[in-house]
Amino acid sequence: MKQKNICGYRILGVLGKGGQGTVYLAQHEVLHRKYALKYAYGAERARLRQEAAVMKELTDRRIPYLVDQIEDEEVSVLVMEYVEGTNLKEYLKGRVPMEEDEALAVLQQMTEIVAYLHAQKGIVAHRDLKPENFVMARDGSLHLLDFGTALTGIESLRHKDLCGTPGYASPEQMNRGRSGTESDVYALGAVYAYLLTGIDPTLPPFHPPIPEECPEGVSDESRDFLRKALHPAPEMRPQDAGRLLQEIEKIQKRKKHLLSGVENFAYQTVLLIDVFVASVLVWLRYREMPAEWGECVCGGITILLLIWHILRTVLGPKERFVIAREWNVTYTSKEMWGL
Amino acid sequence: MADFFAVLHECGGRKVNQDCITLQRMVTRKGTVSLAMLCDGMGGMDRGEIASGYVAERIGVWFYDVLPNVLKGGYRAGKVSKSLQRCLFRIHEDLREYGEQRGLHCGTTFTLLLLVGRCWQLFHLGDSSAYRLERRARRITFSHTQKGGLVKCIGIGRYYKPQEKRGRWIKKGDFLLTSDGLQRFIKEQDLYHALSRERVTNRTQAEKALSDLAKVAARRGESDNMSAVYLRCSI
Repeated sequence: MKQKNICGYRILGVLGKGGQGTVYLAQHEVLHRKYALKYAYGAERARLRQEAAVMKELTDRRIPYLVDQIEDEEVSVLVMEYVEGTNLKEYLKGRVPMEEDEALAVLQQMTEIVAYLHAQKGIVAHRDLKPENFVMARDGSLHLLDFGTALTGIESLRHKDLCGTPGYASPEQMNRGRSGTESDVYALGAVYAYLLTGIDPTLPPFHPPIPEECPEGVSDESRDFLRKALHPAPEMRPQDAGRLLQEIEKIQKRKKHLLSGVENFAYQTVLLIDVFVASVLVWLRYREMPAEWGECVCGGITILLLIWHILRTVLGPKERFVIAREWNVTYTSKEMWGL
Repeated sequence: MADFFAVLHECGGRKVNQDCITLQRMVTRKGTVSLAMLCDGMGGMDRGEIASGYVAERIGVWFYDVLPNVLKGGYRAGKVSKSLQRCLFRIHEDLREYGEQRGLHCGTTFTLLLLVGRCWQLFHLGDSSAYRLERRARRITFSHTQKGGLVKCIGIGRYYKPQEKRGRWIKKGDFLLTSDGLQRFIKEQDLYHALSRERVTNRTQAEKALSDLAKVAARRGESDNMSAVYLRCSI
């Protein structure tokens, strides 16, 4: 159906169709700027107003700003910033499965946007996170779209309704349970699993790939991360995207430490050469041949290796006994820390 | 491993809730360790919420900073007990000194449950209670009261060694820690009935059940703070 032009906006084409209405690309007749217009009719109008209420509070550049809200007798229209770029789903086609570092970088960008939502005063939960709802702009930055199912306010976060996309939606969303920030965490986990494995969760059997399905090169930290983020019980997941971001940073730090593996290899190689040279020197001495210069070099390398080894043992990264801290909940009327 | 927890933390008929609840959990290389603690700041004493909150804070620090070192070589209940008692003694001394300097009585009871794998270890001092919910609610703590008055607590008077209990759960282990405010007017069988596995399957239901129990206690005349922690454990 061709939409009518409204309030000075000329429709140029369809950008996308979703469960909460159709989004059109439109141009302002006076300013000649392009905008995204979301139309809703009948019962969908209330949902659109709710979307406007959520979006008007958001001021991050990675979220399209709300330009106008038009209410007609039969239609409600949201006028939003038009983000030019490629839909992340399209972008990922042929690029998944990704290398772990690359996948982490994409996930980090996505999580940063969601962390901004979760850090809002009224806490905003998007509840329909999936690659289709992200756009990669020309400068490579990600933008989050479609706040049709988003809710704000602590009370409203406990709405029981069916929302989200099968595969990315958390079990509590699919069972019409309470969904909030934990559901967003689940969806981000599902996206990460998709990036690592290339298995699309929106295809049957409609659940994200499990950590065991990840390729061999994927680190244990990433697998643990997936186990936590995709836990069926919402209270067992990291409670918001901010915490998820911390987990991502931990994995990245840990991966930096893995460089010490290369260091180890070099250390062991030099050690082997040193032992070999020492054996040759012993043999040469046994054969009564002059070998003083060789002894000095070999002794020097041995001492240097010994110092290196001691320093690495004392100062180097240690294996952490505690992998993660969870819960950390305290109910008290006491106001300040300490006595 | 604890599946989920539910908490009740209500003022009851009082202005301030002097009870404090803390729940901590860490995932270690040798398994998951959880801690649930309920401190009942004493209503008759001044600034009960300070004492209860302070104990919870210090135990939280002990849990993350000291306990991992104790558990590194494997779980040994005796070592954990020694370490915790050392910490409790220091807390007691600090509270006592703080009270003496200001002419206050800062005291609190506590019930601390530690879950390491399938082993549980309980430390208790005062008139709060801990229950194991199996086929019935079985109280596993003493009440340190005499003629209705509390005789042992932390932060006031001499240091008392807490009551200690240990055990293992096989397939499932459900625990309930309650302050005296909740247990006074609620029978053990009512506690079990409200929180049985048939009735409660998730955190929301458990919190609703605890809230309902608090309402019943209030209707029966309870005016004290009411706090409780429910922990559901299974394989």
